Amino acid sequence: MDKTKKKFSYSNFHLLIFVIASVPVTIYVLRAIQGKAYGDKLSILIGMAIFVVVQAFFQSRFYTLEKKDEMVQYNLARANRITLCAVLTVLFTAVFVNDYLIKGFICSDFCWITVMGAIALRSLLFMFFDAPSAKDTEEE
Amino acid sequence: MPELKTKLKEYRAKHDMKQGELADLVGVRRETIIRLEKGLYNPSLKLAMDIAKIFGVTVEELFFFE
Repeated sequence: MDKTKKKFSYSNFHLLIFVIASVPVTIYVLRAIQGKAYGDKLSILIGMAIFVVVQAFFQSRFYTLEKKDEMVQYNLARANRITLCAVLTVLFTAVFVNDYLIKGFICSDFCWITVMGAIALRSLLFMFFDAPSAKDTEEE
Repeated sequence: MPELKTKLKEYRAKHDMKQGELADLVGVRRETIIRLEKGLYNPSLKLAMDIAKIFGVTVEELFFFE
């Protein structure tokens, strides 16, 4: 059974994670730019959750995830470190803005956008770090 | 500061082995072998020893500072 399964690379896996995490944020930002009330935000998050479940099912049924070797772990560690710094910067800035500039800046929207943004950033950074080797497909 | 260099490509060519074959033998992705050969990644001791074992050489013969 396993022999018939295709390999699913970590870069592709993180591309999916990036899409899943960034789509709700993008929709939110676009709606905010248009000046429309962001009414049904929960349905977008639920929609993405359904997408995750469907994707996980198809991935486990038809694909095997590439082995997680030490370079994947190294690249993930680099991505995690930068993401952590970014999240801490955003949080400290948000606390400052909330206390001195805009009262109520830290709300539920801010929290889920920060979390989704962090997940998207982590995957984006991983793809960036892993990209030079993934592009080099020439067999020597 | 001295840089870690490798003769991995030479030994692989000597053994007529492809990057993918070596990657499978030591349990890593082909991308990792590519980066090792280009000197873009420093391997763990375990990986260095596994590769050296495949080629029947010591780690010092395969990886060295220059």
